[in-house]
Amino acid sequence: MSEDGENLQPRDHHYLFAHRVLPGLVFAEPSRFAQIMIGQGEAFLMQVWGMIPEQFGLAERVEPAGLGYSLALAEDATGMITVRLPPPRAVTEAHMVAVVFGPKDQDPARYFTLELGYSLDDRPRTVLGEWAQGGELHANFGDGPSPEEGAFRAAIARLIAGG
Amino acid sequence: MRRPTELWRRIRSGVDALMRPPEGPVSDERAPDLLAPRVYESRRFRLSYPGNWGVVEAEGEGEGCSIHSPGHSLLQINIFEPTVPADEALEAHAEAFSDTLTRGFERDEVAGWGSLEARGLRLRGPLLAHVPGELRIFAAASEAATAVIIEQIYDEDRGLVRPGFAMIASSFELGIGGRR
Repeated sequence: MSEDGENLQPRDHHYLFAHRVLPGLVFAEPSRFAQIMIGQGEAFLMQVWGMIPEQFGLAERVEPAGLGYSLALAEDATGMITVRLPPPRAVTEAHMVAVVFGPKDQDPARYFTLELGYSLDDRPRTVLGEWAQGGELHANFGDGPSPEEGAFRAAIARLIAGG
Repeated sequence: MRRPTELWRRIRSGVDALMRPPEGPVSDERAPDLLAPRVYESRRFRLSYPGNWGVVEAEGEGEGCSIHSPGHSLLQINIFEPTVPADEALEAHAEAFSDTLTRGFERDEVAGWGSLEARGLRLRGPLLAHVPGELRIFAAASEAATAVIIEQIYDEDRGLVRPGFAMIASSFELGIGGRR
């Protein structure tokens, strides 16, 4: 449901980037992904975004306005890459995603999503999710925080701390 | 939610294509081409770099550039005018990286970068808590400008890329087009 009440389907370009391609790249080579994002994150994201329509034969292309990222180290020494997406307009499209790195000899990477959703009375909400098992399994953790980076990072930290 | 098998195959194929050079943006580290160096020159500095490395000019007000290896090592140069004390510039840069990459790293002082009388810091640890490597930050001031140089090298690529970094350092001249 959009803000004007119209039912919208997620755009393939937007959905594939957040839910398939980016987690695919992360889980294929976590260390390589981290290296690229540290050094050339913006160019890399733009390049991947731009390649998706051709790679997947999509008719509709979504402009990358709003695509960006940030790096952060948490107090517990986990590293986090937060990727901001163009504003979502349909359920399951993501506001942002985050890749969380622990020490290399532990769990190599976790991939979280903050998705647009709607409550039963049609008010916009967010949904916190995770792609796990190498991107094969999607977990839904219910209501998420406001779509701001700090709130997203804090919600992930609470989730990880709680097991 | 399990993915439909056919869709998953298409996705895997698309991701594989993105990961595979030369089509995709991801490439493996390669030895620097030292036999056909390129020259980069701006108002305040000049340097030579390996022929198979790339340069991205800094955007915004400041002068500078980033020089990228075919893999993911890089060297960044920032020029500050008017000049600022080298020690101040060095510590400010080290602090700026602390929240994003280097908190808790081993920290050593190193001296000199190429022919520059620079003060430097070597910060060693897993970058972004994950990839073993190091940042080396150097700062040097001339009468006209202060240069801050940042080298980012991953441990697994160090032996391969070090000659490229050495070429840049040994050729770097600060003060071109103005007072030295």
